[in-house]
Amino acid sequence: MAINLSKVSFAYYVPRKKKNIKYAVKDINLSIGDKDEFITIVGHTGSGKSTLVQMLNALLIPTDGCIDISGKIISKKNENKIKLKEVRKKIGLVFQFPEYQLFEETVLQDVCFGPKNFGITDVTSKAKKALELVGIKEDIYNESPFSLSGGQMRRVAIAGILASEPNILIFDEPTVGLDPLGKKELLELLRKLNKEEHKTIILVTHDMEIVGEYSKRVIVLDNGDVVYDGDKTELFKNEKLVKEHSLDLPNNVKMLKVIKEKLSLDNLDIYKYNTYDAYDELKRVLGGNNE
Amino acid sequence: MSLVEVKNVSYKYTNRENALTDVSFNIEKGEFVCVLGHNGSGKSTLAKIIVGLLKAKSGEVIIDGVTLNEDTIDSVRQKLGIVFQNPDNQFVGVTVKDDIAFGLENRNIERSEMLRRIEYYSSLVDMEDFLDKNPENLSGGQKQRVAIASVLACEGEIIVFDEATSMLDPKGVKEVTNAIKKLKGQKTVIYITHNLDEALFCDRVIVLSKGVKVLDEKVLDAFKEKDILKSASLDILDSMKLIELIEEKGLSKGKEIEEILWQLTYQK
Repeated sequence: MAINLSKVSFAYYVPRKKKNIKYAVKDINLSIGDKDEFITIVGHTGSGKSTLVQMLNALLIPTDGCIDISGKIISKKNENKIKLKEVRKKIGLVFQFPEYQLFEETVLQDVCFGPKNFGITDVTSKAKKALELVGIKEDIYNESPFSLSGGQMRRVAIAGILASEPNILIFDEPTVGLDPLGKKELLELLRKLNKEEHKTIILVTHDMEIVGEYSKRVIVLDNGDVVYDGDKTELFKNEKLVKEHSLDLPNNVKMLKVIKEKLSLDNLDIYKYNTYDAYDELKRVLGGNNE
Repeated sequence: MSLVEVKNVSYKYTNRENALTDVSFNIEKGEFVCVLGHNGSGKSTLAKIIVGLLKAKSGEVIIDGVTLNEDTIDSVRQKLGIVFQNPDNQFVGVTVKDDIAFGLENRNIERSEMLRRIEYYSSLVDMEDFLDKNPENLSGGQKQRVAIASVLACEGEIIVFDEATSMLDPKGVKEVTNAIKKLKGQKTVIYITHNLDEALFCDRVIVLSKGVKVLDEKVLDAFKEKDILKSASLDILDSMKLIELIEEKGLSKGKEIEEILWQLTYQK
């Protein structure tokens, strides 16, 4: 159940004469596996990130080209024939600020809403399992979702998507507005879903720390084009590309880069994404004894 | 006499634990003070109490020598402005110009003066080319800069930023913090955030944890207080994390590397 995009373009408005169409994304080719991937999508505001992820779960239908979601072809031509519900059940999309979408009377009812609409049986136990995964305790199942803290509300909203048991989960800027602890908890949850439940995680972000520490593969969008699709370290190594698209390097890479230059440590590998790896690499090159 | 005096302020929302417990500090005229804390630490409650949107359950707030209470609030508010987290929640005007004018109209400012201020403050935040645009169509960073211009136009001495950048992308954060930096020497700023990174342009850092003031230090000294920052559920800077690990586990040339990392931190 992979997703394949071939020559996909999307325009929010197509003039009748079909001239001078302004595309939000243009001629995109991508292939995304249905398990174990952890992909980040980066790019500036207006680069087409949100448009792209909305096409991935068929909220938007491509203007040109087609998307193959596990054999179901989504294109303008057969727009009316596709069973979109089936597609969306398997690919969960968590919008930015998902807590704004909470509406039910209790936490548990809110989480049940999604799967109920997909016609899933055994809704309550699935909802409970999802709530457990996101770390929401049983004692607040019957509270109003609006009485919770911001971080809790977001986790409840995410549980609402998880409860339908999608294979692929897409998150649009999931950490914006959370404090450092809330951010870390959420990212660790995504890591767990990826490692233990083998979900494919697609994460739209501006945060290069997340790209460095969590993802394997990174897709860079600029002006509606995919300008990079591949390993994160290969991206960071490509100075020209990083500069051209004004991407930032992760903090640990930046620090190691300066240390490498100042101490002329030619064989220091600067592509380390957390403090422990950075320290181990320094120790490997310099030795562990204090002078 | 300090410009802002917060004396033994406590606050409690109904049916909750104390949001603030016995918080005291002074802020001098022209100071940039960062109030740092995790979600639920009481930092936004404190902001609302300082600008008089909430009334402290006990203790007092003295602005420029005047104690904040029901009788003084109208006159004290003239000295205060606040920029909130979500730029979408604070627009009233159809155009950027109208929006900046709103606060001025409420204060019966003369038209010629109004036009002067709109021009002056919109260009201070680099939004002078957008005056006739609808705020709805602006980017997050642009919206927040309009909000700042609107608050500045009222010419209060003290500006409070309540997580004003937490909903913005990195470009927006940079735009907004650059605009705020321009206020150095002109305004007194209380900058509320949960990001240690953003404290760097302030003079002083106050850390709140569970409603209690746990730290009040000059910025660069505050960064060294790793244990307090951690116990307040704040993330310490990546450079400090690496320094800590080097000190703990040892590394040859460790001192030299620590020096480089400190320099990097100062440069920011």
